[in-house]
Amino acid sequence: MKKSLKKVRLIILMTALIVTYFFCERLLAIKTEHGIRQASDMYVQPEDSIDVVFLGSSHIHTNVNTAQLWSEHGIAAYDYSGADQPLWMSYNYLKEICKYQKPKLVVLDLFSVAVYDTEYFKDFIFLSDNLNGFKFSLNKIEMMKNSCRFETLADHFPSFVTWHNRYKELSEVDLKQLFATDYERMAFKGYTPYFGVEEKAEPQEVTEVTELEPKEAEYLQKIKDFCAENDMELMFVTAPHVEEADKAHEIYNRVEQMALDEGYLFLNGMKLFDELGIDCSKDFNDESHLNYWGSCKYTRYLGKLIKESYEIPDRRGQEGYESWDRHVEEIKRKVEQNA
Amino acid sequence: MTITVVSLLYAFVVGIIFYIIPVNARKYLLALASLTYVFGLDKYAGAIVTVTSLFTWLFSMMIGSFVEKEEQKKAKLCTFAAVCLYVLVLCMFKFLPARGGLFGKLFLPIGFSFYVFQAISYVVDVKRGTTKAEKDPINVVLYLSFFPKFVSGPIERFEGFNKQIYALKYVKFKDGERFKLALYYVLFGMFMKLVIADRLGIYVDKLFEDRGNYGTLILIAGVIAYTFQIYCDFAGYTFVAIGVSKIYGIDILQNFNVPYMAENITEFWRRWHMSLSSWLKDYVYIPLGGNRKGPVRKIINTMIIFAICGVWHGVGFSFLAWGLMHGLFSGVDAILKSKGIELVRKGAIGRIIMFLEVAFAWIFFRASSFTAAVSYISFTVKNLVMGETLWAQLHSLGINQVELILILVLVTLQIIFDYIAYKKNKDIPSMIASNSDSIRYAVFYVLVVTIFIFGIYGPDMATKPIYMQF
Repeated sequence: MKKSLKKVRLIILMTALIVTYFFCERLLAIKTEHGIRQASDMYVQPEDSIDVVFLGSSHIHTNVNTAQLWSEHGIAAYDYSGADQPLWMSYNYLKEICKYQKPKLVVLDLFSVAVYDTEYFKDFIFLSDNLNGFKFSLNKIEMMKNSCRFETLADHFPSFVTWHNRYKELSEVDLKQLFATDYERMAFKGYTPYFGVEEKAEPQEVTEVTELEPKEAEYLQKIKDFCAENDMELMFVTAPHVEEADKAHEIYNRVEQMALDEGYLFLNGMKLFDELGIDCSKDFNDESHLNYWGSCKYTRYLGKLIKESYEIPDRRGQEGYESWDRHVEEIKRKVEQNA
Repeated sequence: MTITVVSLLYAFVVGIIFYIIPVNARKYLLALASLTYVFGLDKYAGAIVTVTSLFTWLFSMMIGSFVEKEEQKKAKLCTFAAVCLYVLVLCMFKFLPARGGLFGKLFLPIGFSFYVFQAISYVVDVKRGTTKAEKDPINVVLYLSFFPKFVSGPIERFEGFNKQIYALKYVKFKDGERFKLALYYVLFGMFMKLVIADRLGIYVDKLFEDRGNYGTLILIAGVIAYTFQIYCDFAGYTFVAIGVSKIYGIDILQNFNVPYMAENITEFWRRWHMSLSSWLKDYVYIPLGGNRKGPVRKIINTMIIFAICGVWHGVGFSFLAWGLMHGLFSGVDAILKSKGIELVRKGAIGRIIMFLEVAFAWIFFRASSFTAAVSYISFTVKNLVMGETLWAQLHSLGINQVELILILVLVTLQIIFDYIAYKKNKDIPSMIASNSDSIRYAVFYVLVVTIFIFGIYGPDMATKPIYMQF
């Protein structure tokens, strides 16, 4: 009798600890919309519903308006991106989403490739933004091995080391997320618009070409191979930006060559300011990102190009795609609140 | 042992191997594990502790053989040579690097101050005949390098520790009581260190760095915060070391006995860093004559002890000043005691005076230099009226309302725990371990969740023990 009572107490203790952990995770986990939410809310999307996945840096989740892609073309898209995300992390992101989704098209943003060298990623300040939303798996272990120095691993993994002490900075967002259901979370498709306005000058075009660094070239090839093996189309994009434009142009020129040689489509936004209708006095949030209005112009062009170039079904009205309708409403509300 | 996940996992893995291998191999395992741990921390420290262990064993064998043959002069000479060598090396490591140049490359190996005192106590005890020279060098290696206590003590005595090495083969795996104790020592120690000490340390560091920008109240709070920080840091570390040692059936010395419950400074030093104060008593104070040569000599001896205590802790006049201050307070206390003036030496008044003395002296211990300590005190006096409000100053320290409440609750809890431990004359981990399952499990839950949420770990939150620098 005594032994079984002891066992019951132990079970209660273990249960209490597990429940407390998950409660703390829901409440205290960092919930930025610059990678963490994009990664974590991917897991609650309806299975096999995403037709177009966008990978890459914040240039994806601030510039690609998934609500607009849905409302204008019925494209079920997801911005599966993270702040300054390097290619080797995008590769693991691609593998991860393919565990739950069967996208027909992968759109890869090249901003991080173009602007940052591998030295920048040695002490990557946004590593947690790109790691924390990922569920623990062999894929995540592989991603950590590729992106994190062993000596600093304990600063990022397990993810609770980054958020356990957020008790003093809890906000409404944390409480909202604590009680958010999967149904509510499903309406998030990664798009996180900015609403600031900064006047910028259009950068000059550059014709020089610079090769990708070996690690970037390696992972670009891995992404190409993975898409080919899994019957997914691959497209490259870069949105207009002012930051490090000269350096970026040289990489984009190289990618343009590669895309032409190998038959990939590359939407080089840096050469399409006029075609996109970008007004540099109004459409930039900062030197790196378009604002909401700029992102709408970019997305309009991008959506049309995707529709014309790939067979992406119009999912509007189809069962199982109601979350995209709710997403459109959420973005409308966001625009009304901020614009 | 540093309080990190890696160290605790290491201790756990060593524990598993400990109970699998043949019992006669246990001391070799612990010695190997200890040296591996030290080498892993720092190769230089590993080399130094290995060399020190071997020299200590050689010295002790020589002295032991002289003692056996009743060649007292040779034994005395050999002991004297050994002690001089240890003290010289300690001084060399402590004081020469500050001179720069070639000496700048020297630095004090981790834990050296602690185990060199152990080495000294061992050779002197062999000379005195209070312990026999150990023939097996592994025992000496293990005595000096035992990893749970390696970084910051306690300063063990060979006789008691060696008995436990011999008893290792009798340590049973099925000893629930011992493991319970081990668990709660580790958990409570982590609570004191990670939740209280490391939290206070964040703000104390900023205050001492930027003292001119804060008002009197905040600066006083900073001193009180440091008083609790250093106690929770060192006592917490010691509890973890005690808990981990218990995994292997080894009981290391208690180093703290609720020191801030002491009613006077003399009692404080019987409760604070007990292994160091008893070492100083046995190997310096008593040989100097102790209190056997009259009151004046007693006070002089006390001042010498505390001066040594000060410089043992660190290079710089501020450490000496800290030590001498304690010497002065102890001297005054001795005089008051001899004159029967008990009002200020007992009860609440005595405790308050003791706390004020200790807290004031800590300013010199914590500050980066003597001048910095004096400037801290002068700002405490000068900055009575500040342009910024109290809240603005707290805000610039990074303390919001939630954090302030948390700090106050934690410090209050620690005081309550210490008071209960004082009244029951039993430490908190032992009290928890001896309770019923329901209470223990509830306490386990609270401790784990508290450490999980409020512990200072993760990015930018190193938990380097304060005493690791000594």
